[in-house]
Amino acid sequence: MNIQYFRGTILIAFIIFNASLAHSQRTTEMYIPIGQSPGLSGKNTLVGFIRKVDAKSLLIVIGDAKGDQQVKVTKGTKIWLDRSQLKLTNQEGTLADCKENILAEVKPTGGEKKDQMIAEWIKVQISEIGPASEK
Amino acid sequence: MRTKLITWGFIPFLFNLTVCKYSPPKSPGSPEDLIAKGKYLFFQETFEGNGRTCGTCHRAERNLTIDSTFIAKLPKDDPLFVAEFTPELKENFENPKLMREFGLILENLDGFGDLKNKFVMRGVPHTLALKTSVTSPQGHRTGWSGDGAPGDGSIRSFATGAVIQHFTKTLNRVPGVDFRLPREDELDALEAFQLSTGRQEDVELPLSLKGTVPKRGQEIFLDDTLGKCNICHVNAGATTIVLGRNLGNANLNTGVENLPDQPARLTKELVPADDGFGRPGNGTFNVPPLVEAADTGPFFHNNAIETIEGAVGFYDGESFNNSPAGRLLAQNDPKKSGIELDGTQIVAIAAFLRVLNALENIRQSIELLSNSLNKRICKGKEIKENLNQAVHEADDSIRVLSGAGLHPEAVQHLEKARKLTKRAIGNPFFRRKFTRDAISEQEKARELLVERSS
Repeated sequence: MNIQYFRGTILIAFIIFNASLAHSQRTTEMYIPIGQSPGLSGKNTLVGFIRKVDAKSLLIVIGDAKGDQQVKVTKGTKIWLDRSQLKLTNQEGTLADCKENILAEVKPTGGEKKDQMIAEWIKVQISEIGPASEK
Repeated sequence: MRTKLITWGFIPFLFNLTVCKYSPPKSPGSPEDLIAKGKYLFFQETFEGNGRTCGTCHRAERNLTIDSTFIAKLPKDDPLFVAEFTPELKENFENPKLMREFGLILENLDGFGDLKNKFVMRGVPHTLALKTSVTSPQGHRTGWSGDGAPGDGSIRSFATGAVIQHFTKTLNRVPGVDFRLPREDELDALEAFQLSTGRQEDVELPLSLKGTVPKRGQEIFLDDTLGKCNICHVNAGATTIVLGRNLGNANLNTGVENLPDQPARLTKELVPADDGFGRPGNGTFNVPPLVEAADTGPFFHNNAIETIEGAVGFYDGESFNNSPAGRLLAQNDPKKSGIELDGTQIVAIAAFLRVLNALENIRQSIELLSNSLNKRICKGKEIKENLNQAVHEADDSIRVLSGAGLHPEAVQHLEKARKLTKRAIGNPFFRRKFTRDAISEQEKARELLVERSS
């Protein structure tokens, strides 16, 4: 192991680090309605109704045809309010906007455990005029 | 003599016209049909938005990009200027001053929460040779910072993000009201078209160049202890190979944001710092291919440098050599040197890139001219499109070579080729003859730039 090789390794590590894993541009993603995210919806996201919200442990249970799936919300998870059915602008939301029986779409980060999905983003459908739609 | 010429010209014209009726229909869903549909969508489809199409910024006649010189020739009501005549888009959608003076487009890459203060101003990258330049081990890299697409981040998904950012009728950005999102079949077609433009494979360097200065420029480009260009732009493309490891289309922080006296920042307009990839950004930007560089300036994500010589010179400067990428290059240099080039060497590398670009222009011209020869006369619109595009390519090759006094004899042939192509457009009877002659002139020009085997 010579110094040249060591430096080379550092260089590669630096470039790979900067090559970052996540690719998608989150900002325009916010405006895409539930189920329409290109290349993701229907393939790599979970679409279903919110069954349960545990704000204390930052957990949401989403149910779809296959059953219930536990979803972990982290500091990095983006929550968006899909208000497109109301013809209103989609907005950023919080865990408080995740309510039972609301349709949601979850994009997993990809690094989750078998029985628990970690959410990169969650879209929550707002279909009635109410506090969340009036933000 | 004239009568004879007209007669002989008229026979193939009639023959083509007759055969047109019997052309076998293409199978629906063939790759060609998908590309044709994508091309139509790219240049015509507004997605029920503000009137812009992908082609509003990625102009066919401007190498699928746009710059201030081109912008200056556009009519006032061109959809590019939608912020100037649509009240709903007057504020915080574009900066018309920076668009007109520097060809910069406003993007909200760090979110739409504070439209007045949170945005970046970026040039329009050309979308040629995408097939060779978007793939990395982490997936596709799209746009200047490699993260331009929503969804799965692929080139296929890019159009969805572009419609939301650039096509909207109002800043509410409500799908179904301010625009419609591209359908799955449209995304497939747009992807097929975008991957079909320009080079379909990387060139293999070195080429047997004939010009003295471009030849030296190529040597410096390929020298990993001098120019070091080929480390991040393998074969003048967009692939990075470090110590034998292929990183694909990488993202690097080369310090462009630290350039002093950036044109847009010399104005009194607000130009926030651009932090590149991600949100918040990590300061990296995507490596672009260089074959197409010379005729697609200004350069870098912020259109900071107008000329190819200036762009090469950037790598000799402090901004690059103090950047993370520059420092790491220096660490791996036996003399601990970053990139140290003198004026003649900078010009030589630029001359090499100019010749490389001209060779690509010639390749495209010949391809377009040949395609037009293979089309039946009833495809008049397509023929004209091909020939017009061949004129633009000839213009580009003339511009990039004569802009640095390179290969004046080749320029003569390119000018002849241009004239012949224009005559082919204007004269359907002798179109094929003029087209063949134009191809011949293009070939003669190429022979003056590079040995035949290259």
